[in-house]
Amino acid sequence: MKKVIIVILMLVAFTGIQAQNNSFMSVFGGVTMPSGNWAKTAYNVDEIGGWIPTDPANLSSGFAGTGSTFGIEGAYFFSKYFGIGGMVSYSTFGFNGLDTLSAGYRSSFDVDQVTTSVGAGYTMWNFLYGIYFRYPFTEKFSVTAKLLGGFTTATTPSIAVDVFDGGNDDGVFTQEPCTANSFGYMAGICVSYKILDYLSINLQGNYSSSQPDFLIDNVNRNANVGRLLKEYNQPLTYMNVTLGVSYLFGGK
Amino acid sequence: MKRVIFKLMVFAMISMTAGMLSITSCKKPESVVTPNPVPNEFLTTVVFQCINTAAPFDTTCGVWRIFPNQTNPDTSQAILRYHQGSKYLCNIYILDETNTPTGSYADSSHFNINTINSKTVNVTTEIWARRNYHLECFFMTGGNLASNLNVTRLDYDNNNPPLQVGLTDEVNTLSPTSGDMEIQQQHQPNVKNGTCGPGSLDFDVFYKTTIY
Repeated sequence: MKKVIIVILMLVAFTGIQAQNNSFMSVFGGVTMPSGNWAKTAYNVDEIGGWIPTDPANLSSGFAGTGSTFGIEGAYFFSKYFGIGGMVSYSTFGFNGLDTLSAGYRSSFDVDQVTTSVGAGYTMWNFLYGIYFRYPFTEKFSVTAKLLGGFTTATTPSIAVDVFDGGNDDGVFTQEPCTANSFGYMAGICVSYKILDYLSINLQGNYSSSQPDFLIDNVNRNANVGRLLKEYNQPLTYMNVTLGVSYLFGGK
Repeated sequence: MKRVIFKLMVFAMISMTAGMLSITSCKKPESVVTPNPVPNEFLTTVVFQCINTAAPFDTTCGVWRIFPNQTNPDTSQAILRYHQGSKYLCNIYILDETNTPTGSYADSSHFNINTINSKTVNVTTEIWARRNYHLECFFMTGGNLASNLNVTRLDYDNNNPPLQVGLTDEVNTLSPTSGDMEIQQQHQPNVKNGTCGPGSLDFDVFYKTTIY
């Protein structure tokens, strides 16, 4: 079966090997939407408001929210339909459920007030390369599918909690930002419309996943109380929808 | 050549616009303040009950009580009496008797935590569950009490390293004297370090104490 697929792919590739003017270089920007455990916002407590350290939802929730992405992408088409290329993208993800997290800390510590602050959310760099398949429906309208894999580096947000009780400021403890690397992949589809011979606009939808193993430092954590993560190893999955422009090589 | 430069300029301008839009839409740091809708653990009554480890019939029990509508606490039963040269195993019990029928309040002469009125809330279990940020502190004043009565906390929390709590204690007495035993419960969120300094007070109660 594998051999049949390879032969078919080679035939498709070589039938259009003379046409290389689908090659492109593009920039894009858009929105990111995390999914899975990473996007969950659980802070489950026991009957007296204490964080439950054995609750799977507590340990897997990542509090990731929607964000933005931008990057550059290019591909060289060695045949009419197939090309190889890559992309570099930078993505941000907001922090979702800050109210839930803050209320959870306040409940766990049973204090008069907490002030919970988060940094700029998750950030992620992708350096991916792989194969592209482009099918032109008309002279101006085409659809491109891609499957990329490569290097992903992501950083968690800082979380700082200032505890107030009985008129005292009992200090700030922080979950420090943490950066970790892993293999990542992305699958997507792009609809392109050629507005000039050398320029097209693109609408893309992509699905991406990686799983960095974050080993998290907690600073000034003087009591074993409330949400305390020392490791976070969950799939960072997300969809993105982007708009972009491509410079088409070989345009007149 | 001019045509190529023009194409590249158009591409660059569109690219920069897209890039700027993406960068400006990045998430900013944010912060939220979460106040507490209710105060710390509500309590009306603190019981300090001790049993002589060598003579279980030798017990002493002090009951300190104040209700929300009272200005001054009821200290009529806040009295402790110890034999000299003895060792006692003691427990602190913290109760909420707000809804307890008047005739069923904790009584120093026959207090038993297992038979308290059903309307009485045993807050001690809550404090024990939250032991990682609570500490009982003992201070002796008056006479020579400080040099003749020593309290050692026996229970520990789940912090790393474990720190003392003080709901269960050992009292050692030396020579006859009298004074006041002050018991404070410190609420020490994120500041518990084994000392009585940090945090805020959940209660501060006094027992007239005699060693005879």
